[in-house]
Parts: sequence; structure tokens; C-alpha cells
Amino acid sequence: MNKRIKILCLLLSAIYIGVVIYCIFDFGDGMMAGYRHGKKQAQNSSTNIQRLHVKVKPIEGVYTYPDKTINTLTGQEVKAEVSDCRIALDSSDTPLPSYMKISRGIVVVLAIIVLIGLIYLPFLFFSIVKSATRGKMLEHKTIRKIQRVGYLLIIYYLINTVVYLSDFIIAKQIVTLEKYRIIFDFSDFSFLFLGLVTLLLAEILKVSVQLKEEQDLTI
Amino acid sequence: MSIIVNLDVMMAKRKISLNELSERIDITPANLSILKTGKAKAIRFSTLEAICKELDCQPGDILEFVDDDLF
Repeated sequence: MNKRIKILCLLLSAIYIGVVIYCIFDFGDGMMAGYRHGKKQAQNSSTNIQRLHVKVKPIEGVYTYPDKTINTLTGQEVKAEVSDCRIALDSSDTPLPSYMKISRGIVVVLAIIVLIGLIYLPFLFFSIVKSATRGKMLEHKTIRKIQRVGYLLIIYYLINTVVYLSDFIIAKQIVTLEKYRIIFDFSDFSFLFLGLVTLLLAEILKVSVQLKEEQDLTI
Repeated sequence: MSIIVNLDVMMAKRKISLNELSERIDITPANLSILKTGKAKAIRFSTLEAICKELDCQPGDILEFVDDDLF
């Protein structure tokens, strides 16, 4: 059984490292884009571009492909449809609501919290994996770490939802797209689900620890 | 605790040490100590049988019930 746990832990660690590396590159792209945007704005103080990240649906309905683009392989026109887009608004063209600054401030604070969580999560994760490979899963210390992972996942989901909701509310007030309507998609519960499953696992392990302690103290 | 283990009393009556008793009934001294100090959560019938056989006593001589509500 320990061998199986070790193999699973190795696989999990390998996949996790792969995901983290991918996210670092993705995050790095975002950081560089943000830096370039900030630098450009600082140099040209007359423009103030605000970016909103929203989910959209075609006005006619899904799978109606309101957009067109070119397939560069064949040179033919193909129909397309987007579901997720980033909108850049120039404040000189579109007057932005005053509460947008407050919401941006809140988003920055939430982003810092998420960054701290994302840095802390790998340490927690590898600590749990180490405990599992050493056969120390049924210990209170390990269970507390698993609970923390669950709480971090739920907090990440809540922050993500708040950020999307803030962009959605602002976008609905100041933007109307020609072929799409802006929607708020409630369907992505994956992090909430993962967080709750992790907390449930922690509770089950707590019961296991109690049974183990009773078993150990049965003479 | 409601169930009191009087193993140390019986051991003193029979003049047998913890190590000697543990060797005779094939239980580790650590586990026997846990039992003696009342930290055990449960006892197997096989263990109780072995102790009673060795100390020539009844289970009631080893285990005593005290009603906590009276205190």
C-alpha cells in the first residue's frame, strides 16, 4: 500500500509541477503585459485605458457564430464565436464611473491575497505529499494542512468570483457590444468543489485518526 | 474516568513487577503501563483473560466502575 501511495504522490507532484510551470509562464505574460501597459500610460498621461475581463454570449444564441476570421492555412473565411473576452476602454471616449477606482483598488488587494495564497499553496501541498510518502497521513498536523488547502481553494474561488462580478457590473453599466451580450457565468464551481472535497477529506481523516488512536490504546 | 483499572493493586498483592507480568502474558511493558495508568481506551477479552489467569483473579478485581455523576 505504501508503494502505491508513493507512486500516486510522485505522479501528483509531477503534474502539479507541470501546472505550476505553465501558470508561471502565463502569469509572467500577464505581468509583462501589465507592466508595458502601465509604462505606456505613465508616458502618455492623457489616455487612460481600463481593461475589463468578461464572459459573453452571442445575442442570437450560442453556436450562431456572429464573427468571422480567416483560416490562414487555407485562406478561407471561417465563422467564429467567443465566450470570454477582454475589453479595453479609453476613458477619454467612455466616461468611466467613479466607483471603478474603488473597485480596482479592491481587486489589487484581492490579487495580493491570491498571490500570497499561490506562493503558500505549493509548500503546503509538498508537505502533505511528504507526509503521505512517509506514512504520516493520519496525524493532526497533516490534517490541518489539508484543511488549509481546502480553505485556500475556497478563498480563491470567492476572490475570483468577486473580481469577475466587479468587471461584469462595470461592463454592464458602460458597455453594450454589437453582437454579444455580457453575461455572468456561474457555472465554474471547480475550485469551490475541490475546496469542499478537500475539507470533507480532512474531516474523514479526522475520524480515521480518532479510530486509530482508539485502536492504539486498545490493549 | 468511569472505569478504573486496579491492575497495580493486584500486581502488588501478587508481588509481581510490570516487566515480569508483561513477559508472562506476552504484552509489551509500554502497553501494560498504558493499561495500569488508566490511559487505555479499551481492553480485549484475550488480554483480560491472560491477566486474570496470571494474577489468579477475577475481572472485577482488575476493573471497577465509578459513577462520575456522584462527584
